[in-house]
Amino acid sequence: MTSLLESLGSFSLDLFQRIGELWLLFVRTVGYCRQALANRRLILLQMVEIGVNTVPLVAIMALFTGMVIAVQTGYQAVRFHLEGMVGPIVGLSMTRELGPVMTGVIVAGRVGAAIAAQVGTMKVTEQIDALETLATDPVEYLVMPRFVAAVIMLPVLTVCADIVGIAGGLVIAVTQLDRDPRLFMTGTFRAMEVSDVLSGLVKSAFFGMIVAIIGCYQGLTATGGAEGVGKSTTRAVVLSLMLILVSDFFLTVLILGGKP
Amino acid sequence: MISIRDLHKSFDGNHVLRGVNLEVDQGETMVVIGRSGCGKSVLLKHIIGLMKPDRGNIVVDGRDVTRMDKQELNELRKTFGMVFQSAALFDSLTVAENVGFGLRRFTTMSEEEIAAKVAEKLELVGMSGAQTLYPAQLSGGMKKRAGLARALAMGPQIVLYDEPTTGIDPVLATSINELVRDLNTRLGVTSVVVTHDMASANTVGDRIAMLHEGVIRCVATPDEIMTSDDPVCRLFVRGGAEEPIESGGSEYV
Repeated sequence: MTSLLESLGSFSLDLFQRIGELWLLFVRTVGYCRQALANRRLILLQMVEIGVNTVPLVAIMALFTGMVIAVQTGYQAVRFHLEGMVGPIVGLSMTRELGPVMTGVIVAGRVGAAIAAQVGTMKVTEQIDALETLATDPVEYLVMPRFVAAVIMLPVLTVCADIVGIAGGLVIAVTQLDRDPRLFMTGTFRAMEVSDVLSGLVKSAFFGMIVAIIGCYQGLTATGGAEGVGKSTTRAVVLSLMLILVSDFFLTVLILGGKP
Repeated sequence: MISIRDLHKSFDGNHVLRGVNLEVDQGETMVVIGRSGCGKSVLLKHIIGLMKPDRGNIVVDGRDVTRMDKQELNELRKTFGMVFQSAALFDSLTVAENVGFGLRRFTTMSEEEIAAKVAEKLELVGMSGAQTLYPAQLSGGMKKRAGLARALAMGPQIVLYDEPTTGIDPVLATSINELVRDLNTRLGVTSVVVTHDMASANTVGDRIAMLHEGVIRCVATPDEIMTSDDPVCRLFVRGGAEEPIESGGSEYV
């Protein structure tokens, strides 16, 4: 019983310590955002890595997600002669939910892992120490550029996902449901409001913060050699995915004003 | 110049530094010797503020490193250069970018001036023409020399060397030793060199301090330490094996 309590206490202490460290890293990173202009070259490099290089993956994901929503809704809609609803359902699903969440998931897998691995390798090979001896705070040089780049590029990627996803829905509507493309697009845009797109973009910016901060935190706390970096990378991906899905629920409730 | 007073540091209950006291004078090259894992690198990292001690002080130029905030520490670090055991070059940057890192961030020098300074420092360490290479394309010795060039680029007043000659061939080791000696005599740079290479210690050191079981066992000139009465010092500097040195050698390097 004592041993169980000890384990529980130790686990709780460790958990609160990690939450505290993560929060401190977030606060320091936000503080360094004032130096964003001076570090614009680093931010641009990260924007290419996080954003531009992820476009193909996001596009493929969005295309097939849009197509599968169209197939699923089309299958039901035909039974009730509601084919006109396919466009609005694809559009709203993509912009409000699937676009930002699926983009967040893809970026957490691809970019979150890369960030944790890069920073973790720097940590275990003393490159982080070397940065500090050169009077450079790793939070300013490594974390802030990735954070800013992720917060900017996640919404951009989400816009790409929204467009490609709706295009995927259009392909299915035209080829499988014999819908007129112009009617499909008109119906889709009529059902959507600017706030639908904006809510998705706000969510995606938030997911960008999660991926960058978790990836950097796991990298900066990596210990040991290659094995330690591997574990940090795995933790970064798993934790980012969990936080994206959990925060998505709360953000959705918040954006909808607490009403389902 | 550097005054270390009653420095203590533990890692997970392993008491690595147990009250280190050491004075390094301005313009002096102090060599810290000791067995692998005795805490030499830990001591070096404390001097530049990479680690916080559990107890004790490190005073550099009258200012206590252990009580400095981040900004003060960064200002102080601009007067330091550190050569890491593993070189610790930034692997996403070229040699030129590594060497010019501090110059680009903290000076108003133009790109041409930085390039000229980088070329000068690379020539100093015998690596002319290696500007465009990445660390992955360098041999162990070249990495070490590039790390040395980076440490010297900002014209530091104090240079900390962590095993500068470990893992490189004897010819190169000799040239690095001469370089350390030259920086000391020509520019008056204060140096702290951590090594277990006695040949290197004798060549570069004005004085040698032996770290053993978490304390400085003896401090003496190279000549004096070779004839030391202290059995542990004598055993280490002569590399003998008549009796084992009892030490809690650990992974803390």
